[in-house]
Amino acid sequence: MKKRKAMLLRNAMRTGFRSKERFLSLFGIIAISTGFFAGLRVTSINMKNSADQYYQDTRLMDLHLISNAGFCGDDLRALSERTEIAQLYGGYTEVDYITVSGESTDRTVHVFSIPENGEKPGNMINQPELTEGRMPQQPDECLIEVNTPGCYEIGDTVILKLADPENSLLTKTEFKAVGKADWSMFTDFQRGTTTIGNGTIDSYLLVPESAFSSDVYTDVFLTLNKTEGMNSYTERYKKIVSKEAEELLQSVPALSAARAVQLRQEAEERLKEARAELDSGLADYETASANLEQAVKDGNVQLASLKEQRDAAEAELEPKRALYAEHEASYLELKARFDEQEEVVNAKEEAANGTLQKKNEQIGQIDRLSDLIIGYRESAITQPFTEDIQTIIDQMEPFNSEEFDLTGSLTAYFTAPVRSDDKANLEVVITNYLIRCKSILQTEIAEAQANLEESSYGRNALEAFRHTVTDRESSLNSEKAELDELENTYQTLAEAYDTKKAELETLDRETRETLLQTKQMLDEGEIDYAAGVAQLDHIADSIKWYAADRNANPGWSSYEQDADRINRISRIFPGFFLLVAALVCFTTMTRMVEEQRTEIGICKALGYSTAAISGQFLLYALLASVLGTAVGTAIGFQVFPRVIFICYGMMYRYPSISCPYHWDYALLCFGAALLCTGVTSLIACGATLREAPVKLMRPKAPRKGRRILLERWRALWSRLGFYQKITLRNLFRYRSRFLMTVIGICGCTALLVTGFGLYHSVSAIVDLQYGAVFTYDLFGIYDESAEHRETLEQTLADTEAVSEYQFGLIKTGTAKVGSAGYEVTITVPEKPEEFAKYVTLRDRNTHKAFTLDDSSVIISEKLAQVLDIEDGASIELDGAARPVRVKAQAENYVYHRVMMTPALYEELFGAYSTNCFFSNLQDGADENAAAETLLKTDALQTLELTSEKGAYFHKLVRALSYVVILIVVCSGLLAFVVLHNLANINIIERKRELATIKVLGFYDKEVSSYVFRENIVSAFCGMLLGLFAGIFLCRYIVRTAEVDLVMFARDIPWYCFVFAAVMTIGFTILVNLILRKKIREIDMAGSMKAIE
Amino acid sequence: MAFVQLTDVCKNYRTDEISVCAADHISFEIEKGEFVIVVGPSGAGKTTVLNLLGGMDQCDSGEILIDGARIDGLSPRELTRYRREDIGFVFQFYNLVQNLTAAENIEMAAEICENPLSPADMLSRVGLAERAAHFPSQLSGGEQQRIAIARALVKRPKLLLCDEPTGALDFTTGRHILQLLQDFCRNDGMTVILITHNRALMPMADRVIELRSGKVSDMIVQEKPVPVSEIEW
Repeated sequence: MKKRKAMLLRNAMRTGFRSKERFLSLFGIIAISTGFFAGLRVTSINMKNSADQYYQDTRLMDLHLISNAGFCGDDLRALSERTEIAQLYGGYTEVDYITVSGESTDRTVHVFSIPENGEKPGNMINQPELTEGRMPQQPDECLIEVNTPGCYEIGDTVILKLADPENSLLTKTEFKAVGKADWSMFTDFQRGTTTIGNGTIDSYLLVPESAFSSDVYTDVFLTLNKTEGMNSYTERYKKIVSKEAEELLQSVPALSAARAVQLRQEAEERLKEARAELDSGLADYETASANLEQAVKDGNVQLASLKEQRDAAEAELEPKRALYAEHEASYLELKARFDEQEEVVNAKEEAANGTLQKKNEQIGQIDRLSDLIIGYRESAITQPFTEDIQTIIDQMEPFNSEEFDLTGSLTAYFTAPVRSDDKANLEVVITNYLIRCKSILQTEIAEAQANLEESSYGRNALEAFRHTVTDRESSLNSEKAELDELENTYQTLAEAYDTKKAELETLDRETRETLLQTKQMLDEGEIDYAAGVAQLDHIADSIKWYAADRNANPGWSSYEQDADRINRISRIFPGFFLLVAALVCFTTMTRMVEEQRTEIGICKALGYSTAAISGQFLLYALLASVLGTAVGTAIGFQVFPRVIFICYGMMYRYPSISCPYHWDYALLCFGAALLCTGVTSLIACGATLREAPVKLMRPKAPRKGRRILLERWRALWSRLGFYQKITLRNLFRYRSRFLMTVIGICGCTALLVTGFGLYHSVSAIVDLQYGAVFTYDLFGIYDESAEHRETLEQTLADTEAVSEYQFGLIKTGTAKVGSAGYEVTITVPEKPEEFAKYVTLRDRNTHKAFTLDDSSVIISEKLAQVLDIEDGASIELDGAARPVRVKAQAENYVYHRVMMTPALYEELFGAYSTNCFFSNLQDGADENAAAETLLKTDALQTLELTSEKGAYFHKLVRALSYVVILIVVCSGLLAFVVLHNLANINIIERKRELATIKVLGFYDKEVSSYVFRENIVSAFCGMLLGLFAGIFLCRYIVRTAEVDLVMFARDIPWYCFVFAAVMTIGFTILVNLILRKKIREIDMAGSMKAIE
Repeated sequence: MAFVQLTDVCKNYRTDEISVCAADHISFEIEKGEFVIVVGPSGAGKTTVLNLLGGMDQCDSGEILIDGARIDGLSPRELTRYRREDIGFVFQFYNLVQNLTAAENIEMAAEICENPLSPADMLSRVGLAERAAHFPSQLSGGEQQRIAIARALVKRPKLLLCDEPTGALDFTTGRHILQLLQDFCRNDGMTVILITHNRALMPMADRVIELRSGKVSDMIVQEKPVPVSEIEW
């Protein structure tokens, strides 16, 4: 029996190795799929375990306690007496600004104290891992980390600018960097948030405890006994820690009793001081009121005497005023009369003088006429006369009288001929007449003159009257002067009185006001004091402790999320993979049993038991499974976790990953492999064994040829060549294998599409974010000062390269719906209507543009996703007055964003002021030169060139890209193995047929295409299906693999399909090329053998 | 010159351990249109001779002339061409392509050579015109072998090689097949070489070549071959 078994075993071995290719492909497919599956599956476990090892090695705290009252020494002692606490450290933390190259900035640094020499290194809670240098020993020494802004190196002096100098606990602001360290408190590149600066903490700094001076610790870090050696990424750990934290917080009153007493003493002290202050204040108030009363009284007395003087002066003045008025009236009457009289006299004198003058003129006229007459004695003129003569004649008109017509005579005289009698007569007559007229005139003149001289018109009386008037006037004037003096005296007195009165009133009012205020303050002080006194008993209750577990460490939780993400990918990806592999194993083993049909029959005929016969197949399967699993897992367990860890290492600072051999997963894989190979072969073998041995030894009837449906279409079928016919018939004849190939290739192609799609999704985001969404070229942040803004505005306007710019506000906040909160960047452009020039707000799919309005915010699509909200829902923003409605979800890939208008911002947060600007450059402008100009203003805190941005994200993208490459390589390998295996089976199964057609004289090429046509058709069908299936697989994987902060591109560009298709086609061709050799080597003699 | 001429043909099969001399200085000649039977016990070298004549294998030394052309020393591709153009092959187990109908099996052969006969004519000459659309699995062994003969002859080969064509058939059917082969030889002048271990068939041949241990032990030319109908085994 033993020997028989040995023979069977030998047979089994020979069978196995006779077809090396079959064994190798079986082995290969088991190795690849188990390696891929197990490797990916354990990656997240290894990642978490290695990280946890780091936490344990560095004794990372389990709980971080913070109190609103701080912790005193006795609190710590009380804590250390608690049995559940393993280790405890009370220390100090503070957030300050750090200077970069001597300039103060808004870069913030979280300063932590670490225990000093007393504590043995290595036994320290939250032990930093030195990467360079040594631990600080002096109060002015510090450890820096990789993130320290401004590229500080060991030996540099780190200078801090205290954020709140009055309340700072630090005794130093300058520290010498003596070492560089990694710290398990911060394992990624996030450093948390704060309330100063722009809200983000940029770095941490570890200083000795002695750099702080305070009796009260700000922070307590502790580890728990129960969690000793426990993996902190397990649910159990989290449960224990949260339970312990709860219990600890419940006993806060007991724990903080000492601090409460201390606080009470301090409070009482303060109250005592306050009482004293209040009392002295009250006394001061009393004095001041008394003083005021006195001052008012004195003032009133002075005012009364002033009033008296004024009234006396007024009394004296009144009668004088009346008398003067009377005198003035009578004077004015007199003066009027005088003026009237003077007028009459003057008029009369003027009339007399006029008559006199006229008569003198007439005498002159007569004289001139006489001269004229004499002049014309010897000459005569005819009419009309010259003007002179006529005038003179006309002037003589008044002298015409009844007895003598002077003018007629004169005319006659001048016209009378010379030496005529008339002329001489006329001359005599006229001359005589004229003499007479002249003498009459002279007599009248003399009379008139005499009248005038005698003052017959009353000139003398007038002059006497004038004298009287003048006398009266001067007496009135002197009276007036006297009166004016009295008036002055009175006015001065009245003014003095008014001034004094106003002064007094002001003094009274103002002092009373001050006193009232003082009184109010005193009253308030009293109320406060009373409240303080009342509060004394509640001090113990007011102490609040907060416990933060490791989940509050930014790196700790995001690392867990990343590991879980890998875990999720590893669930779907290799599952798909295993499915394909299982199908192939299944086919291979079934085929193998069929091939061994005759031998099974022989063995059965020879009397071997069913178990013994099946056993050899099981053995074969076992061997392939053991070897395949062993090699696959050995490689997979190392390669996958390490590669992925290296990728993620770019984002985290974990020292190393350990990759132990996971027996559980290895056994699982082995089981799966054995199930696919061994059990399959047993089933196939069992089916075969049920037949009678005689029947088995006879050749199994070849599979019947069958007509296919297509043949009914005669027109087409008759046109097909024999190759096409045979290919089509074969496809339908070996339906299961066709299906197997289609499914296998479909799976591989889908995996390839997914791989490339994922790669695109990851790599495209940088370009999309900084090309399509952020279209601005330069972005700068300054502090909120108006002065800096002015400088920048001026510079931006003056820089030619800058085509346009806009100011805005950017700040970090938290957006919440329910309890889920995410850190967001809030952007508030000053001119929302022009914001589209700088940032594209649009729907990712439809590219429909969104605009900001004053009633709602626009958030990034991914934020809506992680918060699980739709448009129109409300979100709560940290510090906002009310929840705000979400208007739309805008395309955005990196970070979470909330955008709103200044009006809405003011409504939610209060005052709006700008702290950043967006700007675009002219086409072709030198952006570096523009940036330099702006930086020279010294007004900026940061300046980002969009073209250089995204460097950080490239890291993240690269990390995932490597994972994708890994997936593509594995999928390719799988595709290759699947194709090779199936094609190989196809050839082996039809060896005889192929040998026959070779004998018939088919060239190698014709034989190859005879067999490969089927492969190509089924691979092509599988590929088409796979391209389609890939869309869904890729979408699923992309969603699963996303990091919270980042949204991957969701589209699958055409080239992913092309690459996947090309690779599938390439593998098909490669497999065909490899198998072509095998076809060449088919022995034609095989055609002559009996059917196996 | 003879139609088929083998001169001092040697063939050794070497595996790692053992070297078997399958053909040891074999020489014979066959005239055109002859019905030749190569006979011998298992391991005598019948199959080797068949392989060499059929262009499926190369001899180590010696000379093989078919219709005046040497086929020893041809490249694999030239050998394939030779098989394609000059040789018709009938197998013991018919070796029809299961997935092609009777007619299609014949067409398959016709398709690859330059000047074939009409497949339909061939089908009727083997008396199976009415079964053209049947698949091999729907035909009896004799019918399948007839289709195989039609497939071999449709190419107008110079030489028809038959490897135990009756080996898998019962007596009556086998006689029908032999009759068919003899008819083609007599009526169409086809040179037929039939390989068998069955000495009972010897009388029907024009020439009998007897092999023993890789050597030609006897060659008989029969002037008066017996008709197939008179042969029994």
